[in-house]
Order: sequence, then C-alpha cells, then structure tokens
Amino acid sequence: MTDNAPLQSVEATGRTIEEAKQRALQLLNATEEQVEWEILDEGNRGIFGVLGSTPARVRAVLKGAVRQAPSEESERKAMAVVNAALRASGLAVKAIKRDSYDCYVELELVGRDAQRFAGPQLDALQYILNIIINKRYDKTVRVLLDVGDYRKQRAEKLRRMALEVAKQVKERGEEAVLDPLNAIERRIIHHTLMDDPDVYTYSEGEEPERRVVISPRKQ
Amino acid sequence: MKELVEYLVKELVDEPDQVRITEVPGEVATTYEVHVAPNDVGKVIGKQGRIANALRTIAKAAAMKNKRKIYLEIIA
Repeated sequence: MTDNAPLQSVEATGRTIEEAKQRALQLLNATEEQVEWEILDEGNRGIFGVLGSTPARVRAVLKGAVRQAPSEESERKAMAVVNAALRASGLAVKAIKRDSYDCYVELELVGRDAQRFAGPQLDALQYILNIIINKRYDKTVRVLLDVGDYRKQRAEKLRRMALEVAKQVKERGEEAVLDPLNAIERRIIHHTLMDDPDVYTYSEGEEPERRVVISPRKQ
Repeated sequence: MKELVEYLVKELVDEPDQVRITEVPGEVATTYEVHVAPNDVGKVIGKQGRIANALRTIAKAAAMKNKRKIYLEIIA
C-alpha cells in the first residue's frame, strides 16, 4: 500500500446526510454513480438545529474498489508476536483475527481475562506491539486491538462528551480543556465538532498530556 | 502483567539477556525497576518517553487488581 495510491473510500460528516455525501464525493473526486454509500450515523438536528445536534456521517466506497489487505505471511507474523506477548502475561487471553484491510489486521482479545485489557492499556499495548512488529518482524503490517466492542463504545462515549462540553462552552462563552487523550481519541473529538458553527477545537500540550480545547467562535 | 512488561521490554531491546525486572515494595507504592543494557535505555524510553509511558500504563493496569500504586523506573 503506497501513500499516493488513489483513495478508495472516505468518511465524511455534514449537518445532513446529503451534505455529508457531497463532501465525501468532493474528497474522493467522484460522482454519485461511481460510489456506494454506507450511512454511519444519520445525525440529529437537535432542538432548533443547535442543542444536542450530532452530525450525519457517511462512508463512500468507490465501486469496484479492491480492498487491499496485508499478505497472509505478514498477518501470521504479526499475530504470532501478539499471541506470544499475551501468553507471556500468564493471563487467559488470546488474539483472534476479526478483519484485515489496508496495512491493518484487526484483532480481538478473547478469553476469561480479556476484559482486563479494556482501558488505556489497550492502546499502550497496541503501540508497543506495533513497534516490535515493525522493527523486528514485518514493516508492512500494523495490528489494531479490541476487546468486545470496547472501541466502538469508547468512541460513542467521546462523541457524547464532545457534544456535552460544546454545549457548555456555548452557554458560558468560555473555552473548555478536556482531559488528556491519545491521537485517535482526539481525532474523534475534532471530527464530532467539525461542523458545529459555534465552536472550534484544537489540541495543546505534549504527549501524553496533549489535550483538546473546545473554544467558542467569536460572534 | 509484570511478565507481559518483561516480555515487551525483552523484545524492544538488542540485549534481552541483560533485562531484569525487580519489584521493590514500599509503603504506598510498589516500584518496578526495569534494568537494561546501557545501549538499550533509549529503546525502552522512546521519543519523549512514549514507550516508557506505555509500559507504565500496562503495569498500572496490572496493579489495579491489587489496588496498589506502582512506579516503573528504567535503569541502565
């Protein structure tokens, strides 16, 4: 997978599904006939289109797009590293493959002790395992770890928090600084509020203390 | 999960034979001393301490079960 390969799919948001679709087409540089849609979130216009509104999210996939995935060999090597680490932990947990695409292999941790990895330690483990895999075993593959639907629930929680804090920011006219989040989590916050006309977001501070700031737009 | 941290550290360094983790119990916290070869210190700390912080997060998750505070120190 090269960096300058044409985009095969893209996610976009908008105040309405239609707006999100238009944005996705722009990003892909494609026409309506060339793509297939996945509606990720229908969005909610909230009261008067302001309070409690959530953006619509869609995914556009170019028709006939070949879904690339890591080679079987790369997948095997990456999974071997993950499972060797989990075995070393002495806990009743192992990784099974859930999906693979682009350079990623999505793995789910299963077993009696799997829940012990649901938390910040999941990203910490994923980060270190990818360093080990890329440095020692295979440069082309990256693992994504999950426990049950931890990732999905966490993203949902962050979206709700972003909307709640944005509401307070609007009411008070003062900016709010969130607790430190990692890069992926910060992106969820930025994304959630991207289409809100009344606030803007930015990050400040150094990892791992980097925080998102939600700030009111001046009237 | 101390064993997991030890496994990860051994995979990160060039001299796994030199890796030793000792547990030093204290009043309020347990300190894990991670001993590595002098040339390997950077590989376990990482840029801006990112790797060391990730190791700390994993070690903390392990300690949560025992409700103990933990420190993780990397020593050459």
